[in-house]
Amino acid sequence: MTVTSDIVALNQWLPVAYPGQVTSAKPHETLLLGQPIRLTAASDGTVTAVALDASGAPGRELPIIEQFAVIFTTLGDSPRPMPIIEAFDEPDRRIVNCGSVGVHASPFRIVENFLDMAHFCFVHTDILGAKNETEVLSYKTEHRQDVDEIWATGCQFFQPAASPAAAKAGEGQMTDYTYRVLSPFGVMLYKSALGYADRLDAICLFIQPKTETECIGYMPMALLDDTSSNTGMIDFQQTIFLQDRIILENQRPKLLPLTPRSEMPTRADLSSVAFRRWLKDSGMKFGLLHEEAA
Amino acid sequence: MEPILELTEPHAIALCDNIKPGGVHPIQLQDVELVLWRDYAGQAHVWHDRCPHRGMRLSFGFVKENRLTCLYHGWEYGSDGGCRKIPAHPEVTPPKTLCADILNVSESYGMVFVSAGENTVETNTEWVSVRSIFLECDGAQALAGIAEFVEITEAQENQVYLNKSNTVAVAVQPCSRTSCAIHLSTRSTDPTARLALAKRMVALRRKINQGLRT
Amino acid sequence: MGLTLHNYTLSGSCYKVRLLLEFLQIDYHTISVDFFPGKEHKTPEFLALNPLGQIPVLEDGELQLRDAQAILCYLARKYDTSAQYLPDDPAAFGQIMMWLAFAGNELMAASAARLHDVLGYALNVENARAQAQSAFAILDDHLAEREILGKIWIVGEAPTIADIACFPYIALSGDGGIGHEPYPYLRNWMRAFRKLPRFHAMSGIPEFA
Repeated sequence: MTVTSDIVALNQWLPVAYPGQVTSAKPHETLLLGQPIRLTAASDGTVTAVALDASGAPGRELPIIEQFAVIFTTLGDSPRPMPIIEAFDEPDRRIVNCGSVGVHASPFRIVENFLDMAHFCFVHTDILGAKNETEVLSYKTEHRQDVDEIWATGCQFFQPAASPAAAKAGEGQMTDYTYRVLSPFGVMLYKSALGYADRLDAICLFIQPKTETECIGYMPMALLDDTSSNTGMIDFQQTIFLQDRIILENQRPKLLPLTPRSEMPTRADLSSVAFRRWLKDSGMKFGLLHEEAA
Repeated sequence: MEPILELTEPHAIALCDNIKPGGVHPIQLQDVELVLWRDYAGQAHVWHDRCPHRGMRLSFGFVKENRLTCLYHGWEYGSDGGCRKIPAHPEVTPPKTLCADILNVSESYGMVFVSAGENTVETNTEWVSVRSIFLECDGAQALAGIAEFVEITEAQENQVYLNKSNTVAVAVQPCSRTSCAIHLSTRSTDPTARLALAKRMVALRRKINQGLRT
Repeated sequence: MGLTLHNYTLSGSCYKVRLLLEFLQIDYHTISVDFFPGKEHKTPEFLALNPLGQIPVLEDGELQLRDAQAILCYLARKYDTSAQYLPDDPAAFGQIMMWLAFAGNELMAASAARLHDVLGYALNVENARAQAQSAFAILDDHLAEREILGKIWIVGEAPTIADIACFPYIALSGDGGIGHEPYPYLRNWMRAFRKLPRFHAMSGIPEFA
């Protein structure tokens, strides 16, 4: 196992654990971009991280940021700044830690699946999409240069059970979505919250790339929900993610191809087209198929 | 490097009886992923296991009104491999270039074959399945094992081996360099004889696996 | 109080019980257990309910039952008036018990591989996969013989709790890196199972067949 040499991948804040996963009784060893690392917790809960060398001995210390109900570190010297997500600071929201899920896929396949609406009816049937309401209406994408993020706005989809609260209430709703690519390995969405006319639920997906084809996904949420139990909210999100997982693990090739020749997009795939272009422009090589190398 | 299919000769990939109308099956041939499905008119189809949209394996899909439907976005493919419907854009007619990667299929000796030649179906319905079995060894070793209880003669057309009395047919599917499947069919509908052959095949697999462990 | 199932949506063992409850159209109440990341099934409160620290647990009035296989037997005996799911005939009954034990033991290696790959459980996943594949081959062999005899289900002429107990972890095995390519008879049996009236899928099992 060798650490990647891709500077673009290295210069990112990446998730490596969820709160409570690392305890003073039990250090946590994991892999980040091919680099083995170890996380330990002091008795007051402070988490520290070190890179491990080939023999497993601790090497240099790595910086830690705990934010958005996730523990991040970076292997790079000048990482892309952490995003600003105000929803996590709003006191009336439920911050839900859904743990983490392992996926054998390229991190960028995972990001694209998160951005996609056309699969709601088939993969999340009777939850995020209904069998007979499959059309994806036009939406917009833009590259917001000030924060260097890809945004998709004006997205709409009919959802039988859009959220834990909506599932409990048994109410289908037309859901508004806004998608935000926070970094090559981080993505989030804002969606209509039941009973809140002008505020939106926030759901994030931060991806820890262990290797180019093996990742761990962390899904923290900042929800406007007074009715659901914590377990109910975790249940909802884990159900969705495990449904996506069988797709993600069975896409071929595993590495994301950048050329449209091999994968034909439609209008509904606008955000994935924008994402692939943005990735190409970033100079990222990790996790991508380099057909153009020939 | 992605493995490429070598189809200078046809390869058996399943027993006909096992591929029921509406069924969708993942097939591994020479390390290449294929999908084998049968429509409700009874025609078998073998394609590369990949939807041209976002690369999802079609073997996870399902047959809806004689079209293979991809599990990811519900794209529907007709029997010629052409995409007929994109649910995200119900009013759009998919371009003719939007097509699954199709291969030729034939059925004979009770088995389904993929080949580079033309699609053919033998109407000979005399052959019934015994069973398919998957072995962690190459085709030569598998055939040698089968030869211990079936008097195999030389390979016929389609690389099918018949026994001397022409009552048992055997074919090898090279799944990878180190694994294969054996498909066996007979002319005898008698379940006792078929069960006996099936049990011998299981014993062979056990013997080969034990050989690997020692 | 009625029937209450202590349940985790992603649990294949709980899914065995949910399948039969739906097939028999029994009304029941669900208590969600925060299996992950909360590890609620290992808390003192839950251990008082099931000292093995496992889900599912079924409560029916005063009765409390653990173990998915035992729960299937109880529900079939108590609520299946047709006796299809657990027939009285001694030979069929014995065979079903044999396959229930298989579902609760040998097949659980597939559950272990899944817990490793999905939830990061520390265990020897290569061993788990090898054991699961050996177990899958055994059921695939049985179903191959049944097919020669013109039968679909594991025991008898109709689905029983043997099929229900064996189905989940075989259907979910892809989650643990175990594909179905070498098991053509398991594939046909799974498809027949998914086509049953009142069958419902769960995360990890495609909705459409």
